[in-house]
Amino acid sequence: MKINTITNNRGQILTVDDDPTTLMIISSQLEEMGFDVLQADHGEQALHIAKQNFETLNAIILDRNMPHMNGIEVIHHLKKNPQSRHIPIIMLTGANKPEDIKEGIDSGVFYYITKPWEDHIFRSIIESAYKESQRRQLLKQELIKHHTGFKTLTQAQFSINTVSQAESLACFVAHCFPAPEKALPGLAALLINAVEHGNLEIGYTEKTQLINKNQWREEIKRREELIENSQKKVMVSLNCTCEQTTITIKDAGKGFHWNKYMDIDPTRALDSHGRGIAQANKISFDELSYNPEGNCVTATSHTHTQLNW
Amino acid sequence: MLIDTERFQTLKTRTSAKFPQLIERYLLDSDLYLQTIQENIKTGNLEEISAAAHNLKSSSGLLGFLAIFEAAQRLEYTAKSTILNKLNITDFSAPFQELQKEIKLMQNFIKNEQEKP
Repeated sequence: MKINTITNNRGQILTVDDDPTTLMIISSQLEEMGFDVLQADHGEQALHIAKQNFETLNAIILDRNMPHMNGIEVIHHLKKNPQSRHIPIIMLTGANKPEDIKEGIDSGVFYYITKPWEDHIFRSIIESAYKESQRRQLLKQELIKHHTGFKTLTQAQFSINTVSQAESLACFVAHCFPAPEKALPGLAALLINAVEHGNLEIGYTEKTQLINKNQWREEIKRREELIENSQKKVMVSLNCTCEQTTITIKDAGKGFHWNKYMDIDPTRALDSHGRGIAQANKISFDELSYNPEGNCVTATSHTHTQLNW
Repeated sequence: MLIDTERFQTLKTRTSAKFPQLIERYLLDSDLYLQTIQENIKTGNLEEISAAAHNLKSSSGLLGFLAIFEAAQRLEYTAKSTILNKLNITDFSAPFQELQKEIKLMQNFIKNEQEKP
């Protein structure tokens, strides 16, 4: 087992590739980003390391093509195990072949990087997966503290207007869902979308350009501070019954063509962003629907749902 | 020889102290992959040709050796499509010779880089 034990204190990522040079390049890039790196050069070793480190792993970067046990088989094993199924997986593919990507999406992978990658795309995808893992850890801590209190909540309304508030609220309301860890990535995606795309009016192409220039956070902050935007609110209402939990999120924007985002189009899977709604639709909730304009979304989870995800 | 020098230099700067180790590894592995491909062309083991060409393609692309990336990609696709379409063993000599030539050029390029003060 090859393990890099440099302590950077930001988080821990397991990277799996059977080519030693590729493994070294990925590791150096992750270390530069402040992560501790664990390495595996084949699927069985990856599963062993994931099993030993499931509590500390923030993400797994997995090569699609490996001998003996390929990336898809590794994912099936990881998703079968309750301890490792929540760890975000980033799939490395050699080419942007839609059939490979579709197979990955069907297995529950939402992050893709093609080889050779551009630095800013690599960083952006890793940061998104890391953020998902951080939210999950925060949720886990809060859940232990406030578990009983959340069960008594039947109705609540919130009003937010920043991305940071959207992230905090996602962690908070996730507790009210039958399977909080399952609901969390979907809630975060829908709430952040409402602020970012709805209220702040950052379009899909514009976001791609901002990520490419590494200016996304800066631009969010700038727009949040504009007087006209500070008055816009995202209204959130939550209803909990014995049978189901429903959240409705309404932003102040004009709406968007939400239909094409309900599933991941393999041709869009390699983009640096744009997978949140599909993730919400396919994994986080039992029902997800938008109003025709696209500025109000309702998501529902049923209490009886089997936690098979 | 086609090299993305910007990618190569960026990686060199980014990995700094680890770069010589990385290059040594790549030189060693590219040679091994080439040998694996050659041996398996002789025995007709298409899976092995495809796997070795795939890895050589990946690492070469990341280091900016685009001509090797493309030559390895051609070998990988040829091997894969031969398997997929159940064709008779394809003649790999032309793409293999091209790969051999590009690897030699890459080795010279790296040697020149290493000799730079």
